[in-house]
Amino acid sequence: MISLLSTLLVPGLALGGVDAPQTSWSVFAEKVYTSTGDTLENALVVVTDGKISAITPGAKALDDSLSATAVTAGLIDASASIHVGTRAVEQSSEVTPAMSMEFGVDVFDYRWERLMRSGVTTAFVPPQSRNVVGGMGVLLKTAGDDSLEARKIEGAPLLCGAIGSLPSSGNRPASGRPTSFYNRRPTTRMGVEWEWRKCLFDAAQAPAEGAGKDVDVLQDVLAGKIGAFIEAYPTQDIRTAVFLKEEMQREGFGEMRLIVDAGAEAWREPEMLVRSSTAVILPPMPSNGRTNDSAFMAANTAKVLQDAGVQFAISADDARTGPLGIEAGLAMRGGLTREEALRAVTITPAQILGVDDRVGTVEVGKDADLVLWNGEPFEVTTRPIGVLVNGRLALDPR
Amino acid sequence: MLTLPILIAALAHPGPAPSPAAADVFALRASKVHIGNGQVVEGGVLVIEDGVVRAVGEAAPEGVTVTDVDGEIAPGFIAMRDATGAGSENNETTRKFTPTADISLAFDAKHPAWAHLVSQGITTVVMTPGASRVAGGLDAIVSPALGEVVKRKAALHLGMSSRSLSSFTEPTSYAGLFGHLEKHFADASEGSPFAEAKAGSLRVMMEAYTKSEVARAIHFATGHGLNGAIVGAPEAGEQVELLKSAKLGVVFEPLVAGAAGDVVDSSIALRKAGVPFAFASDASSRGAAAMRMTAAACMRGGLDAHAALAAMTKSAADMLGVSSTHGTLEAGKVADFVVWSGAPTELTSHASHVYAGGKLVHQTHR
Repeated sequence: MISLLSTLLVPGLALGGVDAPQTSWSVFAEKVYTSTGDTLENALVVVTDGKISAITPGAKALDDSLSATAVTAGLIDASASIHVGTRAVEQSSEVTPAMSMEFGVDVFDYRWERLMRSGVTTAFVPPQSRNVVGGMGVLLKTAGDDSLEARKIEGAPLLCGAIGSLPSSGNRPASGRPTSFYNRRPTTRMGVEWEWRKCLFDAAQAPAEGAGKDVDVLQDVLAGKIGAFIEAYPTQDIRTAVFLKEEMQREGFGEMRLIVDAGAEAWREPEMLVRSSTAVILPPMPSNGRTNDSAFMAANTAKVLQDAGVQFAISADDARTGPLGIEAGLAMRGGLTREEALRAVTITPAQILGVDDRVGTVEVGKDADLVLWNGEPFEVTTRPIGVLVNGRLALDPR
Repeated sequence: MLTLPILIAALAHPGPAPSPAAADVFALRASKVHIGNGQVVEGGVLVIEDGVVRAVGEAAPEGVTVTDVDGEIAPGFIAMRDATGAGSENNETTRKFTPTADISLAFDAKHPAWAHLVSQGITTVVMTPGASRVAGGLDAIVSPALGEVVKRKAALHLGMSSRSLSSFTEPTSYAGLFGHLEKHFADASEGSPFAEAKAGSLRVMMEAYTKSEVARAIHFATGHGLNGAIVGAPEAGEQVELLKSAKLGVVFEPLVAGAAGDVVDSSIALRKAGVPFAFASDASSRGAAAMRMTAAACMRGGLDAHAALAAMTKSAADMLGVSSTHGTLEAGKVADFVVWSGAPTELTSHASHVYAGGKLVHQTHR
């Protein structure tokens, strides 16, 4: 089968825009990190029609194999802010659950290529934290045809919002004469928390049908059908998110599925996260230790969460400050093993995003999203030299 | 050099005017008559009767004196977006949705600035609502030289770009903008512009600039069965398949000198793919010659002269649904035409005589 396949391979991608791009390849690496716990030596990964069709350890490269020192699954960033900024958030209201980030994403944005070149093949985009409840995030592949329909993939639906100082930062107290719709609540953390509780409480009281799209979304959040993806940097705000979930539980409104995004201070109270089954996305490691909202992110944050048993993923945001591989390397510097760091940028975010049946590991049947590295992954001297997305060669190693 | 069209219209046909004996019928012979449909009649005679093209041929009918003109005759240009003289009267800033607003009411027929457009060979103008509206109203086709409205309610104008978003009023986001649009289209009552657009009886002009905005506008148009054109889309050349599948044309904005040559490349790609395109003039901000200069820039990049002329004449008329009366010099059409000192699409040519509805409305003395 492999030899038959190789005869079909067309060298290069200079096919123009008319012919369908090649989605069948063989990839050979000295080490294949599968994200399932195995590291395969001298393995040949065969890709057929965009899917991984065979993995053979102890093999030899074919004449036309793409070759690399190491191969991992395509990296997954569960919080990539590649969107059109404030135009992606409807600020005429603080609570806009039914708004979709499909309208806030520009697939022609040059940052998608930067993200892909850093090894990220799947990215979740939440809205900017200008609203308390911003709307539904969107999950995309980072390369492929230039249309949202072609890039988008179905994962677990996630309602995104924020707790902290950021959603209230543009608002002004209504002293004197109101001049715009920004003269409104919230202007404080208390107000942000109040908005969350009010909209969830109102949704719980509303009829099950016919109360509008916003209420439908919030009711699904309370029922756990839609996850709550809440940005919260300092532990004060992480607590607020967890308490909110626990309050809804106590009141009998439902079991929310909570994901804390940008949980820089998650290391302070990991047992609270374990207790509430809260997943955490870690923001990029700040060079001075401080993130947004003056949170302190310790160098061993990922290690603390790993040891406590918190489900966590590592994010590099839009890869502007550094690629995701380097963020994983910083987590290793803080104590994670390479395998643990790898999971935090592949299979764990896939699980959090509800797409672990399609992406996140190198296994037969999964999407052929692969990163070819020129050395051991996540070392500072190592970079992606090739990237396959859905079997298409997005970055050519040759 | 410029003269008010009103004054000129009052003069009894100066220059290469018809004989006084037949005031309602006259004929002009030029070295070339560009019909506008691709056909060029060498040494052609254009016969005008009662403000309408009667014939283009090699000779005039008996009894009609033929006046020779020095240059080439072409249909008057159609500018697909211009609000010259409207001031801010086309922009109802208190509301993002005023779909039934009739932009012809912003048409100041006597505004002196129209003469600048006419002097550049523009005889037909589409007046549109301000770009910062979402559904700012209904485009109007006007004849600036005659001071007449040609067609009210020519198209529903929709702003689908960041220009229609504000930081201070709803919507501030694309999601909000399209949320409102979807709702308006879903709730449209019979006879409303949204309902007519959905039914296909009213064209839409959709402003969209980035490729992402264009893709979204096309998606929306396809979803609601809309026909019309995208206004903007400088990179449309990279989205020809999408445009073709949605059967939408493109109206390019005037090229900004020194900007990336997107419009130039795009016009050529659209021409190759058979996607119709036209040009906006935006004279109030870009100057009256901006449309001609954009077409010339496209030619400099490789667009053929016929396509450049069509973009400013026939394609524009087709896009607006007025091709039975405008856009070419075929018999029966309104006698809006220009005597150019040379080829109509060359920048070295100037409009020596401009006729609207068979009347001489401008002439340049040099």
